[in-house]
Amino acid sequence: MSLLDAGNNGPLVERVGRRTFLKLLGAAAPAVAASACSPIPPERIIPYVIPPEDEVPGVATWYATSCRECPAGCGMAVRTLDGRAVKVEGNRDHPVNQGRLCIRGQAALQGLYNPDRIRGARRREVMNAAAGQSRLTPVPWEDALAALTDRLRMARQDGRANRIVIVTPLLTASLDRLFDAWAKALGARRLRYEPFAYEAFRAASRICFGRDGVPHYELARADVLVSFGADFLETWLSTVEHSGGFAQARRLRDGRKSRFIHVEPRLSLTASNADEWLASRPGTEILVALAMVHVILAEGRSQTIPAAEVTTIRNLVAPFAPDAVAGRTGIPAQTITNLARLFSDPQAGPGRSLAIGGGVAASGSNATGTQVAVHLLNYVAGNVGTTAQFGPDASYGRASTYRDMADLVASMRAGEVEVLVTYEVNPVFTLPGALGFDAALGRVPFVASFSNALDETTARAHLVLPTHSPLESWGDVEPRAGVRGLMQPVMEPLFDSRHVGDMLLDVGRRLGGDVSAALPSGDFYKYLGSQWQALHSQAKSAASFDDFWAEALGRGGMWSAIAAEKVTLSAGIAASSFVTAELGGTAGAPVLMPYPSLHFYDGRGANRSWLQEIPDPVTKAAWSSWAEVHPDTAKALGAKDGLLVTVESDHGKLDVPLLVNAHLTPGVVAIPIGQGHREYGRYAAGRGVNPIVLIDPAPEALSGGARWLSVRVRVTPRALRRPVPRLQASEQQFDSGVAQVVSLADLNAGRLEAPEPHRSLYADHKHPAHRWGMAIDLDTCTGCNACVAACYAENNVPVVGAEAMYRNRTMAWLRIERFVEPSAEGSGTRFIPMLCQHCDHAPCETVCPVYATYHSDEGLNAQVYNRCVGTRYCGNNCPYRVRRFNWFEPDFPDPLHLQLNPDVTARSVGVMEKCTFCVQRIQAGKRQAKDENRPVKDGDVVPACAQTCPGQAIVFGDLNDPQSRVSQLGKEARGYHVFGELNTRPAIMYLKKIVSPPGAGTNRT
Amino acid sequence: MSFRRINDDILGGLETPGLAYFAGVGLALAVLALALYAFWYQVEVGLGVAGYQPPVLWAVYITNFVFWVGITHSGTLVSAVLYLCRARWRTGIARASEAMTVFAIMTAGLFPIIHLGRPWFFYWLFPYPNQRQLWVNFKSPLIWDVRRSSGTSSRSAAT
Repeated sequence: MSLLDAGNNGPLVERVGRRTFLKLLGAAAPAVAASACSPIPPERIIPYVIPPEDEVPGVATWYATSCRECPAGCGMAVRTLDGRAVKVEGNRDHPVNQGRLCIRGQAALQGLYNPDRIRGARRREVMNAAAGQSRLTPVPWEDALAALTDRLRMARQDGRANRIVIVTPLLTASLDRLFDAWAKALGARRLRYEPFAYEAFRAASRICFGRDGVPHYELARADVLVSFGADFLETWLSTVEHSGGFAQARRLRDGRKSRFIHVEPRLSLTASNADEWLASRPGTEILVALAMVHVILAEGRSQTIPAAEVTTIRNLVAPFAPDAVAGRTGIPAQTITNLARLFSDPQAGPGRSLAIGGGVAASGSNATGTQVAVHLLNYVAGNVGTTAQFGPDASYGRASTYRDMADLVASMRAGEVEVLVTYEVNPVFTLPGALGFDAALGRVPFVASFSNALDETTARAHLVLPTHSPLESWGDVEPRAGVRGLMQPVMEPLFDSRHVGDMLLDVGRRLGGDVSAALPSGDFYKYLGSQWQALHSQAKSAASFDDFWAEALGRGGMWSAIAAEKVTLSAGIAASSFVTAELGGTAGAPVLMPYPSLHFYDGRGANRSWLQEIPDPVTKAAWSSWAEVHPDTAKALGAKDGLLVTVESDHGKLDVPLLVNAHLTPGVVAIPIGQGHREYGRYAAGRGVNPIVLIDPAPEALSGGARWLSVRVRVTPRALRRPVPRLQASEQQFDSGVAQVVSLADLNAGRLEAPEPHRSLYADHKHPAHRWGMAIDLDTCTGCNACVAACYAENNVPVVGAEAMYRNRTMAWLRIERFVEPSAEGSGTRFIPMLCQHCDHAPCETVCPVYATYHSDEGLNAQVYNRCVGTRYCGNNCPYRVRRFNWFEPDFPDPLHLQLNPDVTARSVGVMEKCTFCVQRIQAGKRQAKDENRPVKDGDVVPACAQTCPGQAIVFGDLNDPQSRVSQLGKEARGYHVFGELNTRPAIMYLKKIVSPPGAGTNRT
Repeated sequence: MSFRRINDDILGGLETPGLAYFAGVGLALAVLALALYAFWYQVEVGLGVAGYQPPVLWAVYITNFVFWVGITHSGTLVSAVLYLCRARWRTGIARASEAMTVFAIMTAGLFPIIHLGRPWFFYWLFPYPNQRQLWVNFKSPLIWDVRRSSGTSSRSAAT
């Protein structure tokens, strides 16, 4: 029976027939496929009908403001496009940071655009009083402010003072004055609480020189820098300023280099950059400093101090000869003697060296003693007044002490506090758990929090009044005497928040009566203006106030040089006694050493995803906490790397993965501070551990500071493995020659390897116009990760999260590789920023099947995202492993997507990406030059990484221009190409790190 | 082996198959459905679900590709060697090996597509004329793979 016979009557399958079936199949399949591949719906872009006056779409507006990510107060220049801040850079004119920013500064944008910012005022609503259930519910601003006003009024009614307590961070200048005025008007007590408040420093200054204050240090002038735990590249005082000064001091001058010796139990980032790291036993650094003073005086090396003082100090340090202290510190006596001789050399003259103390070395019960020793060391070497200057004192001198907070807790517990007002502080997290702030908070009837992040303290408040982030605020910042930086809003407030100053004035007005009369009228902006009018009159400027104000805003503030003051040794010094740190707990047990984190500072940075994602510069771990122990300690505990251990002190307990680190004094458990939040947003909450819960709550006797180094702990291995995601599996190079060094002797003698010869089967690429290249000085790179964060910000690099980190799927275009290598020349840690080398003979270009990567005629290896099919052959072929693949669709949770740079393509799933030498900035530089009818000159194009490096280690420019800085650096004898023997001909020249031999018998870094 | 048995075996191909056959087909279809779902999921969510761990960027898909290409080659080799040796009994074996080769190359050809980050653009790997005047990078070994999979292997298997 033929199919043609079926006609209209027969079973369906026969009526349809084979040919019709195939025709339908042939038509249906592509139709289905086409419908499945629906195009992305078009977005309608509506241009401005009436555009804002100073906004040209696509042209950025830059605002000068100040960074508030830590109290250092660097100046910031914020790039805004279409009314959105997209990138922050340092303010070139600002004396503190001189145009550079650290990793925390670069991540400031993530504070502004944090998805977990509190939007709108909140009030605590009790759902079930018996069960203690309550939650924060949104309320209108009017109600919230009225509620606060009412409680304050009630608290003042009986006339007792100090029923109201206000806790702010260390504020300066106008806002600080306003808070003081407000507190005074209310009869309230005010605390300026900083977890790292340098109390020991100030107590030591009082004891030594009879004046409170944290001096100003000029690292750039020090030929010999000795740091006792002071992590000036991480969190100590003013990190960008000191990184810059350090980089300057380390430049080769007349064939000689300065020396930097770091004394602390752990090879921190700062210690990694030292010529010698002396691994001290925790809490014994004081003895090293005193022994150095002893040697300096015994050998007559003291400089510029009168004989009477020499005698006083000599008597003071008599018991601390190097031989006497060597056993207790773990550092050989000869090392200490050599160090002392290096430190104070009468032939070199006074003021050529600098001793600094802080960090883990000045955090025990002897913190003040340690700082006194450091002050004495500077004093006898004649450094006070030159490299260590009193006069331009840091603002830390005005912070409250930890003891003040402990007293507050006692008041709270006693029921003396009726209203507690907090502003941007998180004592529930940063105070030791055993102090009992958390429990005492329960005894305060009303807690109001001016904060825009739901941290642990704000989560306990009865009233939350969200404040503007610093990038949305007016204000001024005085990090040290003589520097008055301005803050201005760079965009309209993103969410429903208000300026804290405005709220203070508003509440003051509502309270009426004498409170309102005591406070200035108007809003905070008007108050700021009035403060600056006073400055204007003082400056006796010829310009009108409006011109003066506009100029100051454009510049970013006002700075004046403050002369160093003469200080003399105080008589009280003779009464000092010096001891090593006392440690609670069982003798012989490991010592807990919490250390401040470069990324999170005191924990405030934990809610910024870049700071979590970018690996810690020393351990290369991300998104986690860990406990570092020496291999011997681990063996004694019976634990291996990655094992979960319980760390328990007399005051608290926590579970943390173990990380075996050979560069640590045995018998120490080092845990970074900053993680372990219970609240504080999606990136921070429930992640890691907070070692502050373990420490002893009793303050240090002399200074009232917190004693981070105070307990010995019991470490118990558990039966669980929780390895920490680490982005660099090994710290050894295995002779691959990635990060190379040259000894100072060889460099001076000209004994350097010649670069590899060039050979090629193909004709060379021609670069008629420009040829972009880079020079990276490994001698200057400190491994601080600032460039990595800048790259994330500039190039829309997505954050992949902790899970992906376990699979090494970081998207960072730029990474800092860290290698540790002991060798005869005393070289130790080497940091090398690794990014796309833009090779002239790129292995990746040959193998891409679709030509998605090609070599531009300006020397760039370009990646065409919309051509990439995702074969990932290029990534396999890259010897530098700098290519990144988008395994998933990048996620920028609202409002982090507002931070995206519109000049840079946002990549989608399935395409490869890598460093582009900031091609958008290259194009912008060329456009600018073309508009101005001139050739592109050196310095017109600065990629994000080069722009922010505090040490100026990265230099970018046109290799076709023989006068450009990058060409000249490329000709230096120290230059080499990484994997040059592979004949990739990279566009990046690395300059070998210069190592000088260690002194006799010292530990190598 | 009786004549009855031979009869049944040969004529069996003309009759409606039994339950075991349909059960086998059902199982194969179920596995195919799972594979299609898995591939759809991977295309939808991204290659991250395939468990790659950088710096390793090529893993089981390329490995599988090479495996199946290996089978293809083995089929061709068997066929060629038998022909060169003029083995008179080669017909049945050659038929089986060439059938295996054809199906193996079709399987192998799937894997470069599954392996792609953006498989909906797999056709960009073929040098077709287009208005953008873009061709493929003939220097790339992957293009040699594509050429080999789409052209040479299929053609040589068919002869």
